[in-house]
Amino acid sequence: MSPVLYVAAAVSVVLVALLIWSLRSSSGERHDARTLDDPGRSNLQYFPQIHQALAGEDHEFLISRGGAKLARLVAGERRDVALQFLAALQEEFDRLMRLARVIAALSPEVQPVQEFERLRLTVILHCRVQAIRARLAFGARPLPEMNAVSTLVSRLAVRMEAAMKELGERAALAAELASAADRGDVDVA
Amino acid sequence: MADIGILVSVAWALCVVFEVCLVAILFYRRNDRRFPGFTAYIAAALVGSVSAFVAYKHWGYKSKLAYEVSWSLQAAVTVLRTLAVMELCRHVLARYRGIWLLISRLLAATFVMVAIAAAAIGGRSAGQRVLSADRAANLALAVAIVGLFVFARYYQVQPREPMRSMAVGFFLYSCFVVLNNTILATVFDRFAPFWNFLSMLAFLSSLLVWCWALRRPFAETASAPNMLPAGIYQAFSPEVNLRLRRLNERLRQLSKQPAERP
Repeated sequence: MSPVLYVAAAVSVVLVALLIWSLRSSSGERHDARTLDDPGRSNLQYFPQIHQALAGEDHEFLISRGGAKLARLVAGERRDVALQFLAALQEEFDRLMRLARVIAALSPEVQPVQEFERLRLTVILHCRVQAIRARLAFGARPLPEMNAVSTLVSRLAVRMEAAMKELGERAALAAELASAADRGDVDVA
Repeated sequence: MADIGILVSVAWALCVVFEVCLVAILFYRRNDRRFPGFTAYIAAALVGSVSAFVAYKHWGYKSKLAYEVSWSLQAAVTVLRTLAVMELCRHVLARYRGIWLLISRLLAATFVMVAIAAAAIGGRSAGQRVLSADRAANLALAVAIVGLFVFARYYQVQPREPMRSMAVGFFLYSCFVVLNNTILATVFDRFAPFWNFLSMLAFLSSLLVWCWALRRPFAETASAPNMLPAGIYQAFSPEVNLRLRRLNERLRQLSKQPAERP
């Protein structure tokens, strides 16, 4: 058998897999459709509680008052909370990026440099979040700096909301997205 | 014609019948006006099938002249297939002006690069170079179609019917031709009798998919979406990227810190 045949077979398999993924996921996510500006689903409102749960002083206090065993137990629970928070943060981030892509799709002109930059940064960010998740899963203590990360996501969300409000296009966009979704053109999931 | 074999002859006849059916459906449903490129491609494929059949019948299956006529027609059909796929891409995304400009350029560049790369892996004989060129064109088309769907998914654009099924039909045929031609180039002697038959079966499958997809008239119901003012994207996109950079920087610092264990 020629190596070219193996390469052709591998390329074909990859292409078929990509085609199935792009066709399946776009229709699958529609079942989970929700509007882009649904405040009830935002995870950012839990920042104060998360901040308190991740505070480093708490750990020292627990060791001094409750002992190492209790501190370990609490640390484990906080690690789970931190992992869930990270997942929620990523979900929030994904929602914002979907909104950014819909805005690009509905814009008469897009800048390739900006689009590639956003794609690159999004990929890097996902990799880093996975790395932090792995660190937490392998026993690292939840770090208070996660709050800074969540604050940045929060600011990003606020800025995106503000951009739409400022320009008075939010209602028009929502209507357009809703009608486009009804027509089956734009997936707002 | 005895050389060609009964199976190939039957497949050939079926292909011609379904090509005629598809052309009839296109005109009867008035889809020829929506898809002129696709209609031209199917009409050319029909003419190509009949002409190749006549050429092989007249000059013989192993005739060099029949071979040249057949592959020349195939080259013209492949060019029209490329135009039909471009037309399909335009139908899916052209209403979104901004991303269409970006994606069409990307798909065109990808098409050219893949075609050149695939054509470079060709044999030395004239026959193998022809096979290689055909494989390159079809691989580039398959990549372009997958690219179209991936971009549509990325920008949350839902490809509608019949474009979706038509693209799947193009993809299946192109992908099959890539594998079929590669196998033929690798094990020519053992595989040659089946190559033509399998190729026709693949095309027949695509014809069935296209007939099904175009059984109804394509109503261009959706008008162009109300685009946002250009200023929104211009103001918004750089700022989102700036914040993403900050977010990444923060995450990088976070990843660098030594893990504290309880």
